[in-house]
Amino acid sequence: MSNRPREDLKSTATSLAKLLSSDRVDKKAAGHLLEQLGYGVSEKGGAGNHDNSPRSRKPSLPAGSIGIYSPETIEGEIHYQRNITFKEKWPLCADVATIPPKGPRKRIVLLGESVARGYLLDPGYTPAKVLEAYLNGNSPGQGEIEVIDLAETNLTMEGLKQRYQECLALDPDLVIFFAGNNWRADMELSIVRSPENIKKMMEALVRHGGIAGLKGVIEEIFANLVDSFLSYVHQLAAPTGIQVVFLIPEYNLLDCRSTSEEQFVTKLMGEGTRKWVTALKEARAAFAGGHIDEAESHAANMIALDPTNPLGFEIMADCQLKRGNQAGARNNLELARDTALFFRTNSKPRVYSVVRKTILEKAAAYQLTVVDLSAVFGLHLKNKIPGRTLFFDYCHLTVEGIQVAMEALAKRVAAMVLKEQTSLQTYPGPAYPQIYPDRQVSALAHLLAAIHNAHWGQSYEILYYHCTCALRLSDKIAMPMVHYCDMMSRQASNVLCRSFEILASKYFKLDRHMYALRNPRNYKQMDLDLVNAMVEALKDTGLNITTPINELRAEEHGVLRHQLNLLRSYYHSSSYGEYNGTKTAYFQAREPVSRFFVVARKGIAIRLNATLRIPQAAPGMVKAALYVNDVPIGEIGISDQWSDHTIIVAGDVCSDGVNIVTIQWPIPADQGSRNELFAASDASFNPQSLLDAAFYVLGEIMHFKAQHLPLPSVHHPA
Amino acid sequence: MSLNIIGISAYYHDSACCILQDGVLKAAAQEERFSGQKNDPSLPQKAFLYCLEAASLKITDIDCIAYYEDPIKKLARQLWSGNKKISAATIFEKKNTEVERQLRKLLGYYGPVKYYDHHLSHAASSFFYSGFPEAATFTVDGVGEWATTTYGTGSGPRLSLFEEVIFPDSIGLLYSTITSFLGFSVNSGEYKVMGLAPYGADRYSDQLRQMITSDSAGGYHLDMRYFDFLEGSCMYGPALEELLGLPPRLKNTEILQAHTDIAKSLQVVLEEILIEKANYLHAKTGLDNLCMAGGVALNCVANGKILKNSPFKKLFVQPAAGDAGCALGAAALANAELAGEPISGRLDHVYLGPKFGQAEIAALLGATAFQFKDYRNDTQELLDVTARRIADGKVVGWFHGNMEFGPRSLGARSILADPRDPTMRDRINAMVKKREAFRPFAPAVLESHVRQHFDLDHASPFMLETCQVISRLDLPAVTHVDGSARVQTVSEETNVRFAGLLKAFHKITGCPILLNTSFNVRDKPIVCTPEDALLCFLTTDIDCLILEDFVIDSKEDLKGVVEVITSLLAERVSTGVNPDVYTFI
Repeated sequence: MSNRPREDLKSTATSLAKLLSSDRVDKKAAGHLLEQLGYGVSEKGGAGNHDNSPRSRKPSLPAGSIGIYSPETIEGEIHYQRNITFKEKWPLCADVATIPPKGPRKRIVLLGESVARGYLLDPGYTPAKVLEAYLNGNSPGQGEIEVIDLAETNLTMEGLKQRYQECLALDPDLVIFFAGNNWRADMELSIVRSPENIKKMMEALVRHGGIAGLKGVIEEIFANLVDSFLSYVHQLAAPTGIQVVFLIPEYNLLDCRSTSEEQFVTKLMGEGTRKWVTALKEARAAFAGGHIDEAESHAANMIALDPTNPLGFEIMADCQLKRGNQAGARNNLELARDTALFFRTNSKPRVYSVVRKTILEKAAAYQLTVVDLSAVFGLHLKNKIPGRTLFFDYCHLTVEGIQVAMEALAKRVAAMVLKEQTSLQTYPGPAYPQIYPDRQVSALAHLLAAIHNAHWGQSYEILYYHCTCALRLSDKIAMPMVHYCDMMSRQASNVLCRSFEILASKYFKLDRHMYALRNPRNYKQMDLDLVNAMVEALKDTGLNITTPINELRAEEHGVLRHQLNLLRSYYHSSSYGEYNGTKTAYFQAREPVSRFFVVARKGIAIRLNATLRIPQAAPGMVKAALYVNDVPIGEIGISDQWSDHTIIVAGDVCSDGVNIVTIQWPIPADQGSRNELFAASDASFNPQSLLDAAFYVLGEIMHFKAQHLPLPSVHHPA
Repeated sequence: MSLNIIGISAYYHDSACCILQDGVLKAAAQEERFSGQKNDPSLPQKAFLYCLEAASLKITDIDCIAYYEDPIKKLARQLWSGNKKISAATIFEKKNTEVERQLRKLLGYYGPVKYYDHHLSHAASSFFYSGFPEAATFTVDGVGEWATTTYGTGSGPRLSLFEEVIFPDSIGLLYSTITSFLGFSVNSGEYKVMGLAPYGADRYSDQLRQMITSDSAGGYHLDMRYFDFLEGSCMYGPALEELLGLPPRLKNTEILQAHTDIAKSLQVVLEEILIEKANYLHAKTGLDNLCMAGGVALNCVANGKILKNSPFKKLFVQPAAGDAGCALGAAALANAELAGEPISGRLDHVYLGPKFGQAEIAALLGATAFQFKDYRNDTQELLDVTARRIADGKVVGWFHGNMEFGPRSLGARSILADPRDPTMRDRINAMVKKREAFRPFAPAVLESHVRQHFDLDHASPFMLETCQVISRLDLPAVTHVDGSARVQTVSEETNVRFAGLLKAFHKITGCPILLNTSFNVRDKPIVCTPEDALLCFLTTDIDCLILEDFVIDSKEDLKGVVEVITSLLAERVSTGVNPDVYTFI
């Protein structure tokens, strides 16, 4: 028979398999055997590569499509109609059915991602509409300019390139890019797909001995990626004479802080992790006590030990804000934001310093005009740090934010398109008549902002702020809040709840925002902070739903009615962020303290059954401390082997409603001098293994259940 | 002190976990049912946690994990095959110690791990659960480590394989190659090809016989000119198009007569070779009992013919004959090794997955806008009203008790309908299952009535045999174009409620048979939880849902949001494996 590998190579394959299975692989010998088997160094497969699979031919858009729009000739002219085939993508795009043929008006195409869509306000109020209104309201020739809104939520750099290339068929006079927040995903791919980039990262790991050493390499890769994007933009624009403007987004530095997943503890060599955890504890205590100098000192220590963790920078920034040092705080908040480059979690979109810097540096060479939102907002706020007045969440703009951004953009664009200086150069100041959305649109945006912020781990204070803003704008937002509280307090998946049905069918224009009401499969959380914020905000308006919500929680989640598996998402999760490394069957604590929620009743004791361990071998037992509602319950002896524990929580410690069970994990042991990252660098690049090696696990729980005891009891600390 | 053994199959397709406690199978489940990802190949973390919970055990109680294949041998075969996914740059990711490392890392397990060869696990999954004191074993699949077909014998706690056919010669890969050529997904579309076969004529068997040459003993060879699966990117080579005289069918395009003819011819050739090799196996062993396993053993049409055309007197096919079932086999092998005895008794049902309490379901329904009727105090009335609805032409979603293990719905997570209704097959295929129109449905029949309606003289509880329909009743919805049916016999001993429903239906209609198909939609796994069932009910054309003791007749109250929910649930269909090729990695 032909077309078979050689029979005699079976023994070679077996030898190689055995060699690869040994604890210490002789790479030279393995390489020799691999060569005998016909595998190239980089080319994959022992034989040539080809693909004749008919199913590899993917269905494509009709020729000439632009995103969701496909061309249609009407009376000899090409109109672009929204294509029903891509209906599921419509909510990600402008709510516009047709792009007409170009007429006498100057045509601007707006490209970008969700920030350019005006996410949360869209479709009621969008940057494109505001820009067009500004341009036409103040241009010498009224109505001379049209803005075609091709911004699309979730668009990455690759998608943006495609849309840009497609949009040239619309014969634009000017193209605006308002994008950059989603580019981490492209950068990640460019690492994984490039052996050269992987090599650079491995070398940096070995050189530095820790993940902090990767920052320079990651930023270099990112800068190259942005450079190549700008070059691509230029290459397509140059022959056509189309002008290109880049509006660089800004981040909500003041009011969007790192999530718990972004704060996962780094594995540092020697005593590093222990020192960092200790410094964190002390910094928080000092700051809470008003000892700013001391807190700053601990924060500086944290930053020195681990510049990949946002917490040190954030505490430092908070100290500087207390002192009124806006510039210092801004710098630290930017550094905190940029720690998402270390991939702990599926971090919220953002523009990193390296992206902004690269665009600013390269723009002139690529003949791009730049409007830098960071500078625009700086002027607008008189150099104060941008926060909730301009942002709904991490990057999406409020009405004010859109107005300020579009005003700055309009000034630059008008001059370019109309080829004449306008009176709009009198910046700063409201050169244009301000346009505002309907109050309902704004109210809904604030409600969705509260939900969005909650699902991305933001504080009670910001959630409450958005809830009160929503209610202030419209009392019609109260009932949706009530139904939302009902939905989140139940065990059933959101989409099955009666309250969801009411929300979806009666209250919201939700086609663009339904996902905000959906929970991941088998991963619903109670949204405790958000529901509590809504309850309080509603109370301010005279609607008190405290009792029904407490009763519902007790019914659905109460330990008096159910044996609770505390490892289910309801009872420990407070955001939808997730660890980017390996996900295990058991709970891994990656922060010094783990919190669990138990809905209980005052006076009724609870039995907790837990199977725990710490992952790192330690001599003998170490102690984890257990608290309920900040009351110490006792210490649990744990080792690197699973051990079962039963803990009784006395009834007088429990309160009616949600009780917080806290496990304070032991302070990490000395990690030794050989970081696992070195081991990771010995092997081929595996992003998950790298993250697992880079970040520390303080404790693990295989089993954690709560049930009530039949009789009231008195608290006896263990 | 009990002996607790976890069996695991993973990292290929359709991963699964089971638990044996003192030789008794306590629980088993496929990961896809928990993750919602059809054919999920990942280490079965959630199924593992379920097994611990179902057996009321903690991880510290587990004595051994039995793994269903030898990773070193498998890696050797992968390396030899020249797979495109392997290169010098990636090879060190493929360390075969990875499996044990993953078991420890992902499951948190630190006890002993035992590895058993893939085909031995397959054979064990059939023999040890057959209840036969001794039997010949015949395992046929795509490939495990090297073996693709094996012959063996089992007796008491002993099981051994005495002959094998090795990769790349493989009946399973031949079948999968034609499956791929016909435009169906490898590893899941094979069943469709079997269902398509009766529509065709045997016009291609001469060509297909050129692809495989049998020798006089247990061996055979593939002519590799027609195959391209060694590289791991496509199953067939350009020569196959030439041999068959037509281009490969593109997925989701029209099925032509030639495609059905190829499917028919493939079935003919498959049966020829399986019957020949079964006869060889009998000649070698002289045993009366035959245990079959491997993905090819799910070809129930062939199984019936093997029994008819060989001297074997009894046949057992483990219902999860594919790789998921290997978890059971590996666990049984570990049990035999550690306890020195086989597991207890014959596998008489597969209701080994999660079940959900009435109170839990009542609470769930209470949170929804569904109107429902509560029959918690009157099971007979529940059965009567359900039977009445089916008799009235309703399509019923049926959710009761522990979920089935394996690919078939057998009355725990089923869609049921009247088999006498001539429109029912097309309706369910189009509106409920949202799948190809030619796909046949199977009958579930009261075991006590099977002989009156089907040419079958023994129980077939796992829907793994086909036979001719001989009923005086007209059963168009469950009778295939060639007059055959894939029968499930139902008895009170294994599923009292499902048997009760069949009786109630019989009482109303005189027909002790129901159309029974899996409770899922195309490209999604069978439902596991009450929530899965409600969402499937809501987003398909199922008329009525029976959730344990609760009856939901209408979704009118949620009509306004069905489209919203459907779009929210319509994640990009993602299966765990490449549907274009048999994944060797």
